[in-house]
Amino acid sequence: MELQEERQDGKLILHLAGKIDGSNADAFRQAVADHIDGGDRSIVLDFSRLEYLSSAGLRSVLLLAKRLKSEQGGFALCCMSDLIKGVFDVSGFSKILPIYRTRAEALAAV
Amino acid sequence: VTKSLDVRLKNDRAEIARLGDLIGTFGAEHQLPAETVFNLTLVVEELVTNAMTHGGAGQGDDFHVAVRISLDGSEIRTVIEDSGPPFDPLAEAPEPDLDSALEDRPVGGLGLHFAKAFSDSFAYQRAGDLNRSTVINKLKT
Repeated sequence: MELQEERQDGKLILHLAGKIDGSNADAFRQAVADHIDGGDRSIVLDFSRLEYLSSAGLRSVLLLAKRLKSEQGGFALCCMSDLIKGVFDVSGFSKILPIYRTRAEALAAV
Repeated sequence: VTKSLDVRLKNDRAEIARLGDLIGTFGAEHQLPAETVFNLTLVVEELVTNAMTHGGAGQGDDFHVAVRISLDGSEIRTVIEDSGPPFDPLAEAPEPDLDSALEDRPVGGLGLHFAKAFSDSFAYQRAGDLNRSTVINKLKT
């Protein structure tokens, strides 16, 4: 798993690449949490280069969403492949997380 | 022609990454569709994680999981065996919460739901000292 940072107008875009599974989901969550600890409150996760996500990865995304909501932060997801989107759909997470097709829409939402 | 992948896993979550890589290589060798490889990787990870959670906690090297994936014509048969105490995931896992709001949504409980949703059939049996799950994934064309 790789996590690349980009900033635009004070908003943090994190580009996920590779796989998020049970072996690295906690490290992924901690890496994003470090940014929240550092003061970031507008975060977009860009999934365009992510190849795989299991329930362990979803759990991390949900924990981050809960934390940012409780701290009045902005959080949005974008640019998922059909396979990754399927994981969010089957879990029911598509109904409770802000998922956008494009990065521009996600940025506008946070 | 039957082709198969046999993997014996240590009682360590780090093994999940190795398993995923092996399934990816197996899929590439047999030119399996991307969706089939994705679903297979997901189902196997969720069941192995489930086994480690229920049978492997605190057991160290006494616990092990074995995975055998066989390609047979238009379907993939996966058999996962673990040495934990009897645990029937179909009988004992609660239904997941798919409806509550973000603040109330539980962060766990999806693994078995995924194993069922991303496979075409799923069966459990206690086989001697082992828990054995057998999963079928039909090839997506």
